[in-house]
Amino acid sequence: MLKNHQRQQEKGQGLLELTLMLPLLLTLVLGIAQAGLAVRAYLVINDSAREGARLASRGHWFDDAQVLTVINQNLSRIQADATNTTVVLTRAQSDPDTGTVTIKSQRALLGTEPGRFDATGLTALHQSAIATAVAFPASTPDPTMVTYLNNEEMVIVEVLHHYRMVFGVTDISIPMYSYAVFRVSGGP
Amino acid sequence: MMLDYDASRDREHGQVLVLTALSLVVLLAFSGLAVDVGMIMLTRLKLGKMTDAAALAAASALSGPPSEADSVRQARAIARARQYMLMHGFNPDSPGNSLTVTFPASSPPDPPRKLVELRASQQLPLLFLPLIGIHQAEVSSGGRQGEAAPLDVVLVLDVSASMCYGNYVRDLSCETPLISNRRDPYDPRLPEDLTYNPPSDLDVNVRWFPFYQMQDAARLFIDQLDPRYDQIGVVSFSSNEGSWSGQGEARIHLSLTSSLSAAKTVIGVSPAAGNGVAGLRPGGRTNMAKGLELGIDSLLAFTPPGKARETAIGAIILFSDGAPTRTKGGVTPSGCSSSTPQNCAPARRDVMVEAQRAADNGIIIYTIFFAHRPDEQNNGLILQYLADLTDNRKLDAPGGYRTGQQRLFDPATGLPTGEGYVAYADSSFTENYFYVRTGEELKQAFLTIYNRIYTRLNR
Repeated sequence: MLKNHQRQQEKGQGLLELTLMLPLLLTLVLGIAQAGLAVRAYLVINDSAREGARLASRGHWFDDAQVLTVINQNLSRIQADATNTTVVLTRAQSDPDTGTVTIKSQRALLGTEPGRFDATGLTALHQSAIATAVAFPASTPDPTMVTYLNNEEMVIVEVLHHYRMVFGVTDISIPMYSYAVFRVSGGP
Repeated sequence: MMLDYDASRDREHGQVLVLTALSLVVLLAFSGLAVDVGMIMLTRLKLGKMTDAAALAAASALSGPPSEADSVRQARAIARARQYMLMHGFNPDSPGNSLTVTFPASSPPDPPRKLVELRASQQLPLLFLPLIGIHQAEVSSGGRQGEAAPLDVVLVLDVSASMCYGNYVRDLSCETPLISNRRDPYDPRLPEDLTYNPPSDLDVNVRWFPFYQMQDAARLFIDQLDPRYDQIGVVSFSSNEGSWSGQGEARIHLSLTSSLSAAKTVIGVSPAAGNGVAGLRPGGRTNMAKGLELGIDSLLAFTPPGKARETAIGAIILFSDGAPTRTKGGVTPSGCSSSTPQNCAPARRDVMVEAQRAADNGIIIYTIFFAHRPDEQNNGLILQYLADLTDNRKLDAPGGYRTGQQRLFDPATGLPTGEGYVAYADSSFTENYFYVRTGEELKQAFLTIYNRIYTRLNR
């Protein structure tokens, strides 16, 4: 009798252990899946920025609509549309003498959020990149090289995306951001 | 029975806990793997993105005149590669980061190429895998190749009589002896130009001839090319060419060749213009369509043995100081002159047909319009059209020309759809059209075209 009772108690204990562990296990499994999906989304964002900027950097061989088409093709792999995604295309030119960047045009191809680059920010990025770029080999920073690198016509594509969790807390979204800068080089 | 029961009960004791603990370890390891592998993937693709951008930018630095040593170009390419990695937030000098730039050489008989290969890598600290002793991973972009395309360029040059009217004073020595005693009755600049006040920034005491400026600028452009990679051809057009070319009102002076000196000989040295039948001879009216036709033909016909010209980019630089006034067949449309462009529709239509052929074959036409009277910009409209068509490839789009943009000409009739120079605010309008007023601006236009030399990624 006693043993039988004990057995039943243990049975209950097993169930209790399981109920305690199950949420933990589930959280872990779903967490892995969630993390995987989020990484995948970021990869798509990254790819979209690259493909878009690559296309846009080919002079005017491709226009804004075609650039957006390519970006959309990439974005279609995840749930991204104008409600949660912004694509900003910026065409910029830097002054050969000073390295000051002026923005020739900037527009959102998709969505409404502002991009993160303005003329000031781009100038700072451009100039600091050149300063470090020419410091190699460290002994001879060449002033003509600075002038050479100053003179850039570039295209920047920024993709901002609010990734929405799939499991559980679906009202939380993770902001994702990627950009690509390509040098304009005309032609196909 | 009882004993068996007891034994099994003992085994069952804490079974779930053990199982859970075991699976927890496995699961944790897997989640660690998932997160870390995710991070590695992410870093790899981010590196790939910036390396692509840097490889392309670096390739563009490999172009230069033949006088320039390879080491100079390569130093530039390395600097530019570093610049673009930095623009994306990757510092090649930071500990754990590295960027290798190599210049793969092609072995004969393959033609030389302007190639650069980049490989970026980063030591990525891991979050979970240190539990099993893996503390960091080296993530690499893999090799990314950028290439500056070799160029096949044909200069299509206007040698109509107006090219010899400079400073609003005609210089007979500029024109060929054949026609030097005959004033071109169609040129709108005379005699009005004699009373016209030139722009204040032009020095009226300097003799200024479009033809001479063109010679200088074209030679400067040729000097930028590299005979190891690039080829140049020269075509000129005017109604006079019919007298000696046997090809209609244009002439192929030089089929595509890597002999830059031959091209410079054809162009001639200013101010000694009119280099005889072999060189350019200004005079006559503007048969732009014929010039374009021969220019396109010489790009399409070219298949030299032993050279991989399928890797080259075909481009035409069309230079003119006026609007087309002759049809391709060599007829002046009734009432047509540069000052009455509305009567020149058939001539323009022929030009537009040729431009479409260029666009269909992937040939880009850069156009340079040379004028210094503001109203002459109207004549440059057709050149804007050519540049935009071959750059944007939009004419055959449904609904005709680019939506939301002003159409310069009706492709069906060759008639302008609106008068006046169009200053486009739309960034998608081509930048391959150049309006220049002075020799200096002309040289700059040629250099800009050269600097837009194409680059591409090899994957």
